[in-house]
Amino acid sequence: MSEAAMQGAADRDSALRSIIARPIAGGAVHTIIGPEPGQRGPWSCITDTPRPSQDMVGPPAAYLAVAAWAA
Amino acid sequence: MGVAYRGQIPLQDIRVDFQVEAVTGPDARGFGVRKTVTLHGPLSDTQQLRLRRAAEYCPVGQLFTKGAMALEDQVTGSAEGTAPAAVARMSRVLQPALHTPKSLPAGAVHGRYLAETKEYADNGVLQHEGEVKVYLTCENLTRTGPWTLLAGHSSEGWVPPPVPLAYAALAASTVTTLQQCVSPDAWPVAGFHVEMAPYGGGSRDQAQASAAAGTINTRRAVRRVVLHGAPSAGLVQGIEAALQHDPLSTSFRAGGVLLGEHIVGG
Repeated sequence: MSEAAMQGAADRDSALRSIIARPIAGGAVHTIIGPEPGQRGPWSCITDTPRPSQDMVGPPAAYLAVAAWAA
Repeated sequence: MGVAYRGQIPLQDIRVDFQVEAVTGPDARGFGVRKTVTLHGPLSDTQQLRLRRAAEYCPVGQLFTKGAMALEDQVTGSAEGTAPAAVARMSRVLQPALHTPKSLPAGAVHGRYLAETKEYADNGVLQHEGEVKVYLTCENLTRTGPWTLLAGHSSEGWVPPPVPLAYAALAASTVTTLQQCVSPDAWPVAGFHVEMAPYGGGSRDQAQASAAAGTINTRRAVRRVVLHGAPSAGLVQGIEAALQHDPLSTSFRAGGVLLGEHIVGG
């Protein structure tokens, strides 16, 4: 294994979770973004999908990604 | 805005508008976007081209257009006394019913730069590019959104930076896809969650330098699906199969989301 590959494997193994997403009632998803060094946070967001029987409580997840692109 | 500052380009304001469309095709991407960037300021053609390239190669834009993500998937069980490897072996006996994820509703995303949030150091050097107010709306079966959020860079750090927000969207999309694709009967009673662990992404300055130079800066992350309890037989295999159907995973790995792009002067 090359030095670069070994470093990559070490980086991967030491990578800490900084984002957690979990399903919540009604099929929506609650996601928490942990802060990186020097940032505040954590930040929280809700995403959802269209359903005939209930309002969406947040945008679809792909829209959140497009919002990140816009920012 | 950061690239314009570093390149001494007189960009006074910028607006970004995306139209989101459902797209059918052989892959799992399932959607595409048309982007319009409106630049305000006395810009030459060359400066507009530089900003267009920067927009194309911005850290999040690279994910959508260039597939600049190396994503490693892990599925682990959290059942006490049950090693993940043993869980995986045990679970490859039967595969739960796999469904196709629902198509993405059409809609729009509008980004409006908040110029007053730009921050300078005492010596006049730009420290933080500031924040963006983003409006989102999509077709809904009950009523139309819309939603508003803030993102960007500021010393106060009240809003999430763009790249972590994109990772959060990927984690959320993964949960939604797993809910839609894997039969509810297959999940452990206590449920599951998804974790993202990015690594080796480089600094914001490095990312902006890549954007200015038009080079790809591959983002790397571990994505873990954590099962709360012992999974039913075949669940791990079913999850691995379902992950291949996630629209954002496919987009970030393969790019190709951009259906059209317009750069206009304001």
